[in-house]
Amino acid sequence: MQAHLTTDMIITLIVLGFAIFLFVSEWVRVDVVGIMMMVILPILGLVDGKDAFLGLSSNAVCSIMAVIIIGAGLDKTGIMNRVAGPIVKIAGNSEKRLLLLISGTAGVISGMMQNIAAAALFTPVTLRICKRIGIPASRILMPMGFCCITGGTLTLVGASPTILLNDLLVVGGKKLEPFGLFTQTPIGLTLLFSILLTFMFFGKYLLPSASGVEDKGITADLMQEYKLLENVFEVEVLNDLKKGTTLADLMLKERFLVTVVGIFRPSSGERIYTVKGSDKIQPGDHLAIIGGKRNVISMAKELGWKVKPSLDVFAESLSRMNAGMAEVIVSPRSELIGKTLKESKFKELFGLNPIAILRGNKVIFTTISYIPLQRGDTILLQGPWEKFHLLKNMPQPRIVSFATPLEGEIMKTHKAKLALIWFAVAISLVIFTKLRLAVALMAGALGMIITGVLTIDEAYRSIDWMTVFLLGGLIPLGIAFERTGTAAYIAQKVLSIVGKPSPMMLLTLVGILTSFFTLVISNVGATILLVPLCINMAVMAGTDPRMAALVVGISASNSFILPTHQVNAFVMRPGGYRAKDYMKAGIVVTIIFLTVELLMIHFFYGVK
Amino acid sequence: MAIITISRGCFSHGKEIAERVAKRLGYRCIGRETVLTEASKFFNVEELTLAKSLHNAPSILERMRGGKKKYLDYIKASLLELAKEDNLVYHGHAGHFLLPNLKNILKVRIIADLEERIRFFMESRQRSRELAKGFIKQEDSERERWTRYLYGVDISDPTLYDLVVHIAKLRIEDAVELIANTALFENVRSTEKELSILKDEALAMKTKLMIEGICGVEEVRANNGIVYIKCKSQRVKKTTFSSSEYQKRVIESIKDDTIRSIEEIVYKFPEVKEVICEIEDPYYV
Repeated sequence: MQAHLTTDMIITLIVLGFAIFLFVSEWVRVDVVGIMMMVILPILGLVDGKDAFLGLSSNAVCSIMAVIIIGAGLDKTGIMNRVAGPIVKIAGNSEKRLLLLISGTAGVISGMMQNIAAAALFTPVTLRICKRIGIPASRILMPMGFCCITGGTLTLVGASPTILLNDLLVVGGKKLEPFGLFTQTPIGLTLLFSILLTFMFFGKYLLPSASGVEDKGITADLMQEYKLLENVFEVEVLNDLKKGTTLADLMLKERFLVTVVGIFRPSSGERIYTVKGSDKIQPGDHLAIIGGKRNVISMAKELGWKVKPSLDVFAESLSRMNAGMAEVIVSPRSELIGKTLKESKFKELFGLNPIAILRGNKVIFTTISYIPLQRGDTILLQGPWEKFHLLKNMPQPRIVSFATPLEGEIMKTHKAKLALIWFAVAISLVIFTKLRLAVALMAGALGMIITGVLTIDEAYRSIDWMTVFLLGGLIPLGIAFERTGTAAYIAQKVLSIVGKPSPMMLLTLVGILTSFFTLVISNVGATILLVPLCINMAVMAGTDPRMAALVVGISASNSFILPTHQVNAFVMRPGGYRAKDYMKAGIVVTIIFLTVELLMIHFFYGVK
Repeated sequence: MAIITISRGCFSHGKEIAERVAKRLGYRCIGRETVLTEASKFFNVEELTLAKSLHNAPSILERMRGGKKKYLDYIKASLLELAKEDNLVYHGHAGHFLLPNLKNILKVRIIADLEERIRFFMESRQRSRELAKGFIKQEDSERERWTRYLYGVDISDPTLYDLVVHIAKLRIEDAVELIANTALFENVRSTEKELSILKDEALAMKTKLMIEGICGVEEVRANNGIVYIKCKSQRVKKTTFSSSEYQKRVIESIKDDTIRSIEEIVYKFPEVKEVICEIEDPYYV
C-alpha cells in the first residue's frame, strides 16, 4: 500500500504546522488554539461540520469533568485531610520514612485526582513536620511533587493524556479495544516506586538542602501587623481564685493587653470559644490567650498561672485549618454604626472574638467592647473559619465587609461518608461494568451533587475549562489527521527513512519523542499529535498499536526538568528551590522514568 | 564635584594623566581593574570573564545570544556604584558608554601619535619595535570593533567626547591642566539633581541584575530609594487537569513567591526605602 500525498493531506499538514507553531510560540493560549481548530477544520472541509464539536462531547472531555467533580467532592469533605494526618504521624522522625510515606501517598492520591490538589494538600503538613523534626523541607517537597506528577500515570483517569487515549485509538477508521481503568497501573506503580527509590538512595546528591519558607498565612501576617499580638498561648489556671471570679474581674486586657479567646473546663469538658467578660474562671481551667509573649509571661507570673510550651487542648480547634483571624470593615450603612460591640451583642450573634479596632492610624486594644463604632472602623476578629464564612455569606446589606481574604475553607465533614460511597460507586462501575468511562464517572459525580456533597455551582466552578476546550478542539484535529490519511502517510515516510525497527526500538523512539514534545508544548497537544502517528507507525512495523499509544500517554507526564510545571512551581518557594535544582534532579528522573517505562512495556506487556 | 572619564588608546599616557588630574583636583582615581574587582565581588562572576567582555569584540555566537551584554551590565552597575559618590576620575575603556549622559560627567579622549605610543611601549616594556607596533595595532582594532558591535559607533568620532586632547604639541602636564580646569567649569559641576540620578541608576541597575535569576525582568526604575520593578509573566504547565480554583491558587502562589524573593534580595540594599513590584499574572499553557 503506497499512499500518495493528496491536497487534503497538505492542508491538514499546514493546519497542523500552524497549531504546533502556536503551541510553541504561545501567541495565544493553548485552549484558544483548540477553539481555532474547531472553527478552521470544518471551514477548510477537513472534517464535517457536525464532527467539529465532537470533541466537546467526547469520552475524554466528559470523563475529565466527572473526575474533577469527584475529586472536588473528596477534597471538600476533608477525606484527603484525614488520609494525610495519620500518614504524617506514622512517618515519625526518620527522613527516609517521611519521604517514602508522604511522597508515596501523595502519588497514589494524585492517581485519582488533580495532581496539583494532591501537592497542595501535602505541602503544608510536610513543611510543619520538617520544621518539627528539623530536616530541610527541600529534601521532601521535590520528591513529593515529582510523585504527584508520576501518580497521574497510575490510572487511566489520573492525567488528561491517558483519559484521552481511548478516543484516539483508531486505525484506518476502526476502533481498537479501549484501555481499562487499571491497564496501565503496573507501569504507574513501578514508575512511582523507582522514583521513590531514586530519591531515597540518591536524594542527597540530587536535592539541595535549602530550608524553604513556610507559607505563614494571613493570620500570622495580621499578628505581625498588630505588633502586640505574637501568638496564641495556652495557659493553665493553677491557683485558688475566689469563687465566682469572672474574666472581667481579672481585667486581663487592661492590665496585660492580652485577649482570652478560648476556655476549656476539664471538670465538665466544656469548651467556650466566644469568651465574654462575665465568664467565670476556676482553678484547673485552660485558657487560650492571644497576645505578646512577654505580656503573657508576665501575666502568668503575676497571677501564678502556668504557660504551656505549646497549644495542647486547643491544638486542634485553634489550628490554622480550623480557626484564625481576619480584618473586617464596618460598612457604610451598617447597623453597627453608633453602637458598641457589647450593645450589638456581636460575640453572641456571630461567635467571633473582636481582638482590636483600628481607627485611622490608631489601634485600640482595651475597652473595644465599649466604643461606639463608626463607619470605616476596621475590626480584627478571631474565631473558627466556619463562623467567618457565616458572617461573610450574610444577606445584603452586610454589616461588615472583609478586608482580608478568608484563609480557611468550610469542610463538609459530615458528608464524607457519602462522598466515599459515590467515589466507590463510580470506581466499581468503571471496573465491573462495560459502561463507557465518562458515563460511569459522571454517575459518581452526579451522586455527589444530588446528595449535597457539593452544590452544582461548586461542581461547575471546579471544572478545568482550559483542558476541556483544548481537548475539545484538538480531537477534531486528530480526526482530520486520521481521516485524510495524513497520519498513515507520515508514518510510512518516517519508517521508510528509519527502516524497519524492532518493536522495542520503535517504542523507545516514541517515548523519547513524547518526552521531548511534552516539555516544549502542552501534554495534551503532544498526545493528540503523536498518538495517531505512532499508532500508524506501530501497525506498519508490526507492533501492537495500543502499546504505542500507551507509551505516548504515559510519557506525556514525563515533565520534571522545568519549574514551570504547576506542581513544581507550587512547591518551589516552600522548598526553597531554584530553577537549576529542577534541572539537576529532573534530568535524572526523566531518564529513569523513560527507562523504567520501557522496561515494563518489554517485560510486563511482552513487547519484544 | 564632577566625574571625569578618560578614554584612550593603549600607551597614550591616559593612566598617567588620569592620576595626575585626580591628584590635582583631590578626586579618587580608579581604573578598569578596580571596577572589575568590585563587579566580580558583588555579583560573584569571574573577573577574567568580565575583563574579556570589556576587551574582546563579541564573537558571532555571542552576538546571537546577546551574551556580552550581561557582563557589561555587571561592569556598568559597579561603575555607577563608584560614580554615585561623585569626585571621580575613571580611566579605562568604555567609561563614557557605561555612564549615563549627564552634564556632570566630563568625557575626555586622549590621543597620541602612533610613533610616540610605540616609543613609550618600547621604553616601558623593553620590547622590540615590531612587537610594539603589532601589539598597539591589534589592540586598537579590537577596541574599534568592540565599540562598533556593541554601541554601533566609531570610537574615534570626536562628537562622542566633550574634550579630545592630542598629546604631541600639548605635553602631559598641559593636558592635566586643561582637563582639571575644564572640570571646574560651572556647567560641568555636579548638582543634587545629577547625583540623585546617578544613585537611582546605580540602584536600578544592580537590582535588575540581582533579580534576573528569579523572573524575567521587564523594567527596573528607582527614584529616591523607591524601587519600581516590572516583571514579565511566567508560564505554567500542567500534566493533568486542574480546576480553576487550583489554577488561581498556583497563580497566586507564584506571584507571592516571586514578590517575596525579590523583596528579600532588594531590601538588603541599605539605600532602598520601598519596593514596588508589578508582576503580570502567570499564565497557563
